[in-house]
Amino acid sequence: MSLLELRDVKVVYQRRDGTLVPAVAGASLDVDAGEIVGLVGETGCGKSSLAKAAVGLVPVAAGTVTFDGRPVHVLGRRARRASERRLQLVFQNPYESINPRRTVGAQVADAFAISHTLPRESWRARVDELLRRVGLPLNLARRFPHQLSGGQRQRIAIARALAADPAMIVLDEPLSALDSSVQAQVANLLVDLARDLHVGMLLISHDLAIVRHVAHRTAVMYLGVIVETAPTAGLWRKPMHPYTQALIDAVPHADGAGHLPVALSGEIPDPARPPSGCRFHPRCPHVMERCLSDVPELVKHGGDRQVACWLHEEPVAARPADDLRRVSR
Amino acid sequence: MTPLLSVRDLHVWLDTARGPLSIVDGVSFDVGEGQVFGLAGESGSGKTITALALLGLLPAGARTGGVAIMAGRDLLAMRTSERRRTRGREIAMVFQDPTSSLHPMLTIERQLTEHLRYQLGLSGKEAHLRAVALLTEVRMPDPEAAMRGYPHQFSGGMRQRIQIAIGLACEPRLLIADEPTTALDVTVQAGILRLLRRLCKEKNLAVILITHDLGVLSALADSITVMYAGRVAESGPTSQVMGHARHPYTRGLIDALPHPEAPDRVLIPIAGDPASPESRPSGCAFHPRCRYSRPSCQIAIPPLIPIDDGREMACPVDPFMASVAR
Amino acid sequence: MSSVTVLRQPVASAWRRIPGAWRQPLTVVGLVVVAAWLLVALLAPWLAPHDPLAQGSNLYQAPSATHLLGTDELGRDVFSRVLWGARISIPLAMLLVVLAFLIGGTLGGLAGYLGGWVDELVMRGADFVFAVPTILLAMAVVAALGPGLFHAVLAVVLVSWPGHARVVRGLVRTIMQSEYVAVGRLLGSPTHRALAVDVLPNIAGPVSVLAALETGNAILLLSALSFLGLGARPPDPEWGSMVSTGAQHFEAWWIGVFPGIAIVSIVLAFNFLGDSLRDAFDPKTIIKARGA
Ligand SMILES: Nc1ncnc2c1ncn2[C@@H]1O[C@H](COP(=O)(O)OP(=O)(O)OP(=O)(O)O)[C@@H](O)[C@H]1O
Ligand SMILES: Nc1ncnc2c1ncn2[C@@H]1O[C@H](COP(=O)(O)OP(=O)(O)OP(=O)(O)O)[C@@H](O)[C@H]1O
Ligand SMILES: [Mg+2]
Ligand SMILES: [Mg+2]
Repeated sequence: MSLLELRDVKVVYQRRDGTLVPAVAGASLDVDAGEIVGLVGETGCGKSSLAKAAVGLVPVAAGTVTFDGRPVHVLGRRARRASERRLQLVFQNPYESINPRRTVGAQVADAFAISHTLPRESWRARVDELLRRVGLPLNLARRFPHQLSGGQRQRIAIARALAADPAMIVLDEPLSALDSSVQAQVANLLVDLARDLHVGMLLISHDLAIVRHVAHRTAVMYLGVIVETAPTAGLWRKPMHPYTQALIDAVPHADGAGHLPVALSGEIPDPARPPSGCRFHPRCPHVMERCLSDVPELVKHGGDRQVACWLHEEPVAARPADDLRRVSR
Repeated sequence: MTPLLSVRDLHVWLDTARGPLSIVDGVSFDVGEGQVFGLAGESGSGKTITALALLGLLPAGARTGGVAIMAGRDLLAMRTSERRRTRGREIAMVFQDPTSSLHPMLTIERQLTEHLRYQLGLSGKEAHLRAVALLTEVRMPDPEAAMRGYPHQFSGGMRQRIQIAIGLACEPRLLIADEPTTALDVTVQAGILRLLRRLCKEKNLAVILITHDLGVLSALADSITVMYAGRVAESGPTSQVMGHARHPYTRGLIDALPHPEAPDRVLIPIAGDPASPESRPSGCAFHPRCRYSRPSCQIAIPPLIPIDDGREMACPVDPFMASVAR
Repeated sequence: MSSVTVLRQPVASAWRRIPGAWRQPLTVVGLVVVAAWLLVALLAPWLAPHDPLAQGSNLYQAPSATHLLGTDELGRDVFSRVLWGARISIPLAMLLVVLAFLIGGTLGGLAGYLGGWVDELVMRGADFVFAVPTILLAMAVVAALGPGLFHAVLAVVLVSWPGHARVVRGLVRTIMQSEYVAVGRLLGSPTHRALAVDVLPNIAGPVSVLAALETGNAILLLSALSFLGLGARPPDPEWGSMVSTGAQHFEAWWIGVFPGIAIVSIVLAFNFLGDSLRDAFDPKTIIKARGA
């Protein structure tokens, strides 16, 4: 059993005009203690929605979310259960997730102020320690958010989650506003937390190079569903889903050569009206007849890999599922 | 050819409880028509503040020094009314902070067409059509439906693209894009980069591209300026700066990137604590973190000196000279 | 050269230490005018050269040295009456804004926080009040209760609470749904802490802006009711009723014009103050500039 388990999770929003938007359309994912799982995918494919569902900020329309063996409750009017507080989320946008009227130091101290886990005298020292860990100058603690740059805010958001001494953190784009040096520092911090304190992490990022570097396993999402998951190294060496391939091809390189990366052709689909069959088929270079009508399931391809694509349908003859938890649906 | 925008010796002081604080300290650069000028540098080094200064959007109580000449006029010395006309029509900005530029209570349609109607004097119908075209251009799924939505109904990346659409709406001559693609996945990002490149080629749009993503800079920027603690560390053509960085700080940034061929190698951040504007180190602000620093670095602020092919650098030690000579 | 040095070393004078938003000329004007009127209200008995109610034999006298602003149709000193008028309008307006805020703010806060049918009820009530033109509704209320200053105040409270309710409800709702509240809640913060730490500080600013603007409106509305003969009763030196009297005696323009100027000056001053409060409370005043 994994620390965080998402089973066939669906998240559905309603637009003003009444149309239902299934932003997450049945996604399964596991994150073990001490494991970093990268989640990558097109913008608007439902990564943030999945993240919010994972911590109970949005209700799931179907499926289950469990943390440490217990179901995660949707956050209501009551205070969050102590057992769930070790599951934390770092929001995507550090301009919205920090209260503009409180000093950032006070906000970092929130976790201990709320849970009374630390005597008041030691708050200051602990805040300083957290700021240092995320690479911020200590004199920032007394500032208000509007006096910080984007990257500084983002690190405050990370420090705030770390203050809760989490066992599992869902990080939504935690590194994108940071310069490469600070990014390296924070990425190393995440790796250390996973290795030394066995913190599990779901790392949502558009920076594939960082995901490749940090994540043990990577899941690729497209339009509300997971299309491929594999150990990171393998995924990069041999992407199996055409969308994964497209992502890897589009990574720009910092070599000063001036090559514009290739953009994936075709329209970005609207989750309210997903294409029939394989959701990727209108943009897939290898589209076949059956892709238009049949929905490919996420199936195992040797070891630790799963792909949802008709191109790879034969290989594994139904072997007894040695690792049931990784098989979804 | 005279550049479209020429910034000389830009200084910015922000108002704080303890008096004015120097955030940007003598930054100069040129942006040519049809060119993409990249601004990189440490988080908190003053990139956003530089951009806000050009638009006259600094927080109340801020002061500027130096000049920023665009089409014969000094942006820093403009009156408010003149500025307002300049913004949107001549210069547009895509903000790093998406919340401050998208109004939470107005539909996307209102926010997009308002600009078009006010600035270009389009009729309601024309503005609507143009808005749909813009959303299509930034690759929004189902633009007609998107027009009716409110900002919170969109994902981070979608909001970023809506902002880009608003920025491009009035066909400005200069687009200042602060982290325009951070919330975008690489395939959509590639699309936006191509769009910007095309506008530069076809419409002679000039772009100031502020980003931490050195890969994006490499792909799009014609020239790059790297800032550290409010000053320019190194600037020059992209291929030079990214290909053979000479300033120790630029080197540090590039060396901290995950290596594409060796993903298992530990990432190496630049050692030491970041500089904060309150306690900017004396002399070269980078000296406490620099492996090559000499006693003289602690005293004199190194001037920006031209080195090779249009490149300038502020480091008298120049430890990486040899690597370029090769 | 010297100009460059000046630019590089901005002087940290005491003036510069005042937060930027308070240094705008209009703010200073607003502050000074409001402060001056408050002082006048406080010190009117000592400042006024004549008894505001004392009738003299010099009717309709134009402004002169003895009667700075002239005398009215009963020979009362207009200057003294204007000064005493501040004692009526300003405290009443403030009281009424406080009442309107207590009612509107509480209802709005509950509506925003609880949602559901409470929200429906409060907002439909507010909609109803909004649907009728303010002055008409106020007039109707006074007409029902009978004229008089106290009833006029009640009427103005009754028509102005929905403004507060809407603002507070909107703020409470947006802030409770904001990501920073979510972050706090994920850390285990109970809702009352979220209300105290996140919601209150974030609504204090907009609410005080509203209060300043509403005080101006309230003065205007009270005066309007008095002008129509529904508020203050004749002998009281109330600005609105003085303007009304003046309107019947145009040839003696000073009777109506000076109280009118008093109303305009204080209403404008409260509006300036409201606007600058908005800037001062806005942590990033850039927002306004960006919106422009
Ligand atoms: N409150 C909402 N109401 C309606 N639709 C919504 C709402 N929130 C999100 N959506 C839609 O759900 C889809 C997924 O959004 P989500 O924020 O999860 O995407 P994402 O994968 O995080 O994208 P990004 O990488 O751009 O942040 C989008 O199409 C978005 O428009
Ligand atoms: N209103 C303010 N008052 C005081 N200091 C401020 C204010 N706004 C920004 N700063 C400081 O100014 C410096 C420059 O900020 P700026 O936003 O320009 O950084 P940046 O280079 O854009 O960084 P990032 O890449 O993280 O966005 C930072 O150190 C920040 O803390
Ligand atoms: Mg997202
Ligand atoms: Mg910035």
